[in-house]
Amino acid sequence: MKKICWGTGLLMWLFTSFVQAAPLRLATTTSTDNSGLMRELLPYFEAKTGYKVHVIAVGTGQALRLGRDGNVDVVLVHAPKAELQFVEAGYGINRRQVMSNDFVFVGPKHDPAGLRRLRDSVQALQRIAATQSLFISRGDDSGTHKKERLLWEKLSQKSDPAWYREAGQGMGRTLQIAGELDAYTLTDRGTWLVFRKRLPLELLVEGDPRLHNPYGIIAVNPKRHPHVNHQGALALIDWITSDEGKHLIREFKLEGRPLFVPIETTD
Amino acid sequence: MDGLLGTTQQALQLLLTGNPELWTIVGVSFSVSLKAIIFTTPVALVLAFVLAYLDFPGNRLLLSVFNSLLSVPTVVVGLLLYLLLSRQGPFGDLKLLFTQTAMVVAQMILCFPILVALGHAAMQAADQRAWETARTLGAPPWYAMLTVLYEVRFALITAVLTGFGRIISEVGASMMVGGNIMGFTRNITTAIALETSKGEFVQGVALGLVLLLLAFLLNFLLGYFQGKGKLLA
Amino acid sequence: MSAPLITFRNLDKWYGAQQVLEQVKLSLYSGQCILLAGENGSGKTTLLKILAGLETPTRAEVEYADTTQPWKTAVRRYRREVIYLHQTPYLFNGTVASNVAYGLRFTGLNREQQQQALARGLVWANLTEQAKRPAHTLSGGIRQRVAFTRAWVLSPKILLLDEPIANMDDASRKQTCDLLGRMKSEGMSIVITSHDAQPFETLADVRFQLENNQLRPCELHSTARESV
Repeated sequence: MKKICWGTGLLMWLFTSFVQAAPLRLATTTSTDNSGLMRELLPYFEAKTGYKVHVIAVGTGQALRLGRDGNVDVVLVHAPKAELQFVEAGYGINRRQVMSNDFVFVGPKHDPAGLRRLRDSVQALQRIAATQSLFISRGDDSGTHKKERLLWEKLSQKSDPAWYREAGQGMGRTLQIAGELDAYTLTDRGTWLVFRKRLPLELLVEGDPRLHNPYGIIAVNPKRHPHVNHQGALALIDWITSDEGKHLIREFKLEGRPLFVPIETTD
Repeated sequence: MDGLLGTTQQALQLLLTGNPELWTIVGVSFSVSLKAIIFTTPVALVLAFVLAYLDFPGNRLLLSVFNSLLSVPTVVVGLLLYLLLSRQGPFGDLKLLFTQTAMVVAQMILCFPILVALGHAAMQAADQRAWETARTLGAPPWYAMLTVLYEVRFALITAVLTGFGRIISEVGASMMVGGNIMGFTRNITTAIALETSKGEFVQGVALGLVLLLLAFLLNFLLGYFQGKGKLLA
Repeated sequence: MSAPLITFRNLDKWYGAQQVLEQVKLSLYSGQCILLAGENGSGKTTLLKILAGLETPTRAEVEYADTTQPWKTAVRRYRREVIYLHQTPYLFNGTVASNVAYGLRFTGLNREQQQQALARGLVWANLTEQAKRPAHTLSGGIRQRVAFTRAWVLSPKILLLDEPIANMDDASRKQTCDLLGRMKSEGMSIVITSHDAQPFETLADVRFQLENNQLRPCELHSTARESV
């Protein structure tokens, strides 16, 4: 009798993981996930709607790719140009702008390129190039990386591998590398706030409107992938842009400071 | 910044106070790896037996295939499985990507060659007379096989422990097909990868300690069973 | 002497291009002991294993239970009646008792009957006191006895022994021959291979020589019944 009980129990345990209620899959970027916003927000959404959200945090490029392949139901990224292309190509529908924060330049305290208190991001890059100061780029096609490349395009100088290094990794790692190598880097404010205690770096440049970092949420097109949880995706999009969602976003603080600004207009 | 000692202290605290997030992660590791090894072992051992006792064309070839699969990098298995399980892939309709099932499958693929190769070695080392004695005393072939497996059980346990060791500490495959989703597909190794990438070393060290302890335990058991196996040879 | 239990005819065995046994003919009778002599490597073990159903002949015919069939079909039926014992017996991990009882679970007896058969076997071989001893602690003489008993409890009609007394001291040899004598008187048909014929002079009824791949009847010291 005991053996039967153990045997049944073992069999049940072995097979329960194969029986699951369908979750709502959200692909987002590592920096978004690392800020902790999703962790703070989603329980409210889950409690209200009963959906269970699975957050898969990868680079922007991969997040959009997951959406395009239909491996997730909804994507939340911060790369407006790529987002628009995504929708235009028919991979996603019902795009909404959710919130924004900004990018900042950080670097070593002794600031060899003299960026401190500059307000012009392009000028900052110019000085880095001129002084050939070490700069670590994300190098991973992320929203941050795309923004950085956009800024470089406005310069006549080109980056040079002598002082320009591509980390190919997430923001946290990239910051760590910059810290170890006494280098400059471009980072989103959220990740910076999380990491700055552990780093020998300082915030040097902020406030340039070109450093604006808007986030958009897009539902994966159900016409291309009929199996996706479209209802759930729409529910999440509606909720996160609703008053409740906006309120929670506004109230979210990192290291005691609000990080995101919810976008008031809907697209 | 905390030094190594400080981080380790905090890590121990985290472990001993039963931090639920931490232990959920440990639970996922064990759940996935135990299932993988439980599902793989019977099939792999039977295959190892057949390869050792049955002569058929391609026998040697099959064995060398398994031997070469022993050292395939885990990320490669992960990538391959990802492409197969992706919606764009041939098995997309199974909806297995980013589930524990996918991780179990990946780990089954990883430990299967080990179990077959080591199991085969154990059977080869087994006494030929064992099979013959069992058969002549009236055992049907399947029972005789079980008898032989029992005779070399310590070597087989060693094979299983080795296979388990490989899969509980792998990160490449779990990361790719699991998606590192908290509470669901985040296991010890993917969590360590994540936490260190965030600079959160305390949780990383805590999980690392669990893994280290497990490694010690496995090694100890390995030595114990290997010794026993030798004694009865 | 009534009809043979089983007869093997036209038995050939080739290993690739090498022939090992040629047109072997052998009949086994109940209560008879056959001594199979021949040099090492002459194919005695191969022949025995084929008789036991442990190896496949290249071709052979078997006359068993009033029908003649090719070996492949016949072996399924007759192999239950035959037990083969290795030169150095293999004992399973476990005790004397667990070894002796091994084959009982395939006989269709219920638990209690199996226990009784085991007890009888231990008494028969005078092993009752050793029943709980672990197999790997046993010395050569006792191992042999355990192997015999393990076979005896299954009441086989035919017993095949490969060099049963090689590497044994005189006392153990006598013990072995005694046991074999008892089994013969209980009606078993016994085939023994040995490169030394002398110890089996009283036990063996018939002697064959395996030479140049062929089985040749020989003279024994006592008057012998030759198989047909």
